[in-house]
Amino acid sequence: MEGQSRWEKVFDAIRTSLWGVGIIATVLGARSLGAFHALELMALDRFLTLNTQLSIESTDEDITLVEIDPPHVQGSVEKGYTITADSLADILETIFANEPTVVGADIVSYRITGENQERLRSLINQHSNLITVANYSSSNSAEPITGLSKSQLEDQVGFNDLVFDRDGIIRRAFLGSYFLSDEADSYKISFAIQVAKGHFYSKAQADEGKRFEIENGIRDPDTMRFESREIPRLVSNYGYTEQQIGGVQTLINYRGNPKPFEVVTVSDLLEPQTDRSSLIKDKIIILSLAGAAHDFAIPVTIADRTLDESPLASGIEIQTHIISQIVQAVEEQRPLIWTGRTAQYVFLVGVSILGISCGRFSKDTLSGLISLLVTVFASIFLSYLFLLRLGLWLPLTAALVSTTANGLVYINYAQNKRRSEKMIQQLDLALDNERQLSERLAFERKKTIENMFDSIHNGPLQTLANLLRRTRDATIDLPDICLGLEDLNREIRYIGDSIKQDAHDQKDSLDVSYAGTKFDLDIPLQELFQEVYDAMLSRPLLGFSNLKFTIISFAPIESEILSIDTKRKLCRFLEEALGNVGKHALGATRLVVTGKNKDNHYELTVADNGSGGNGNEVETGEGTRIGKEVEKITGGKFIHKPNKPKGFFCQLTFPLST
Amino acid sequence: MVPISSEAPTGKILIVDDHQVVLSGTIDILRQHYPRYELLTAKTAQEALEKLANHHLNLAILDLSIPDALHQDARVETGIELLRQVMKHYPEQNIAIQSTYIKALVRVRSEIDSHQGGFTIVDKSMSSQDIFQRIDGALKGFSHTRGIKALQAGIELKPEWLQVLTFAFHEGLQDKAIAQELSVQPSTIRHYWNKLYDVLEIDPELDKKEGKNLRSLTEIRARERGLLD
Repeated sequence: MEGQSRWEKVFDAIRTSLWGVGIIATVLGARSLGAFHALELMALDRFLTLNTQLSIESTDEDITLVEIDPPHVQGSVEKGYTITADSLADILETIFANEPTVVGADIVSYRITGENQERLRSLINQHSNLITVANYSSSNSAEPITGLSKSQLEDQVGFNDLVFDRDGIIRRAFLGSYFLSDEADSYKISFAIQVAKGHFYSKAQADEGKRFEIENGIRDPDTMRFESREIPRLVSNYGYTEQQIGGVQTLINYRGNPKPFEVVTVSDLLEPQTDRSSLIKDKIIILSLAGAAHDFAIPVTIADRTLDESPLASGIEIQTHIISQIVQAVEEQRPLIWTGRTAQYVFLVGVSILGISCGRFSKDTLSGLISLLVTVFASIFLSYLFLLRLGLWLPLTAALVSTTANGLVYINYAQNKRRSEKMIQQLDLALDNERQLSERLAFERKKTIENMFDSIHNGPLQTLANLLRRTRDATIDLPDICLGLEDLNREIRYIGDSIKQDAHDQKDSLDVSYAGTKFDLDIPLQELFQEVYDAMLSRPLLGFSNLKFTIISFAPIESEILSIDTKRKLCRFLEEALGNVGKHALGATRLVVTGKNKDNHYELTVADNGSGGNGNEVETGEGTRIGKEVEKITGGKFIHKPNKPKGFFCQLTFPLST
Repeated sequence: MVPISSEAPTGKILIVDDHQVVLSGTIDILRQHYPRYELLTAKTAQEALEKLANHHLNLAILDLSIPDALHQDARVETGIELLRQVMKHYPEQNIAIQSTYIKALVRVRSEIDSHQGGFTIVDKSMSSQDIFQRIDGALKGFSHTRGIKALQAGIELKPEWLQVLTFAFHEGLQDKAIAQELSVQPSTIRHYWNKLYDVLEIDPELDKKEGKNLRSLTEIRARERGLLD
């Protein structure tokens, strides 16, 4: 039985574990089919938005965004401003005069008008930390500024193409890419990387002798590395496929501040009272035309869309975020967003197991649900914390679905199991009660029969024995026999009536059929003894007929420690002992009936000097039986022996303390 | 009629009975014989215990069927309980039981036999003269409890009483010596003698009047009854 139930337990554990495995497998399957991608992206957006709302980070002090506004630009906002090469060169000269680390001019070539481009080229020649842009997207592609050398094209031009997700939101950034349009050597580096690189070069130069190189990654050879810091390359994950990811891309960790960068207009910058040095010196300057269209959705802005303010981002803002995250990652160890399959699976399975535990190890349904809720919130918090601190992007929604499903299934299972266990327990309890009841009934029945037997034995049977003996000895005449039979009749009837009455009232009493009465077992034991003695001595038994004197004394006894049943049995014992005197102690002249306290024991003695107990009479019968019973019930000792010089001696000694 | 003398003894007697008629009757008898005694009465067990506590009584005459407190039913059990209390707390109190339920005393007989004061039993159906004699016996410290002895037990004795007989008549010891032998007070030995008179059916007052020596009479009776070999 034991082994079987243990196997059953193991089997049950395996069977129930399979549900959890099934749920996790289902979630993983659904995930691989893309069921959660949209939700995961939403979760990421939420977290990034939360960063911004909580202003988790400060404004990036290293970057100043300079907008060139009228009168330095021409045209209208609707069509987009243009700028003459001369004005641009003027502005650039002013900026370079204040020693920035790098200047990124995110102004495409077709917006630069005027003939005097030579000034710009000489500025590009003069300042290797001046970065300009190109664009290779089909809609508004823009060539680099014409007439640049090959090395200038490689090191000072970056493409500012943006990459859109399917939902139109920009979460990724190009690091570099091949573009089909060009000749063989068409690998281009993005504007952000070029600016960051220019920044690091300048810093390294200022540091004397130090060289700074952009190299391939060590862990991931396909990505870029600035000194020890690799930029995590986006691989096919979360619905991003290889086809979608052209070139080297990374996720943008938008800076968590509503005002991520310092923005100034050129007009303000040129104001005489402006402290230009503090805005420009040793900083990355991103130059753009004012009025750039704000028509790009980024995660940080979509949260506010419900307000219908459409605070979309401009391309230059997004570029600045990318530059900022790279510079900060290298210089400040700010996390870049990355992800890994192992981490994803560990998180998903781990949290799911927590969900299972909520069902398995909670005491009741409510606590199960509460712990599940805690688990859900903890995993949300944990995944947010991972993103914030390590940049690790975890599959939160899939994990939540798996956890909740597992939690609910197992809580439900545990509830059902508890219910059935409780029912089994109740059933067991009921059965146990019934068993106890039947045992008690059997015990009561035995006690009642014993009681009745004692009543009959010490009452009518004694009378009958006496009558028989006297008839055999022919010491009795007919009228006396008649009287004796009448006694017998009365005693037997009394026992019958008494049993019936006992069934009605619950009072504990001792049947004394020969006296036609009952003794209340609640009174002190020595008084009961006295009453039993008196009633017995009133019976016309042969052994009493010659008594000359009786030594009688019952010392008081603490009868509270004795149960009613014990008292009843002790009375029966005395009755029986006196009955034996009456039956066998022919010619007895003295009788000793004493109860004494001795050494915390009570010693009950009945002794006579009759003719019984000469040793030739076999000691069997009820005297011994009741003696044995009373020994057992009181834990005492019963002695039964011939008295000297003649007669019988019987003594019961029982302990008074328990 | 007993002459009223100036040196008639004085004291207090308590009569407990819930029936006014019985009470009056008993009081009449007592007034005749003990004109100088103060007679107290109580109708309930509680009242009786109160009077016992507050007065030094020469005798308490108790009914067995009495109520515990006013307006309660009279029960023999209450009277027995009262008697138990009295014997327990006033072991030398002279007591006379005056009742129609004297058979109920059987179960407290062991205590009655151990009681050191006078103890007599009066059946209410007895004549005034007999009633007075029993009451007087109790007042004088004697015992008369034959009415509650077992039918065929012969003479019922406590083990100590038999020892007193043996010491006195086999070894000729005096009370004082017996008391030493038994490690009890001499007064206890006197109390044992009184009990022996009772079981041997010696009426100390009457027999003395008839010019008999109580101890000698006791020895004769004891030998007759087989108590002494």
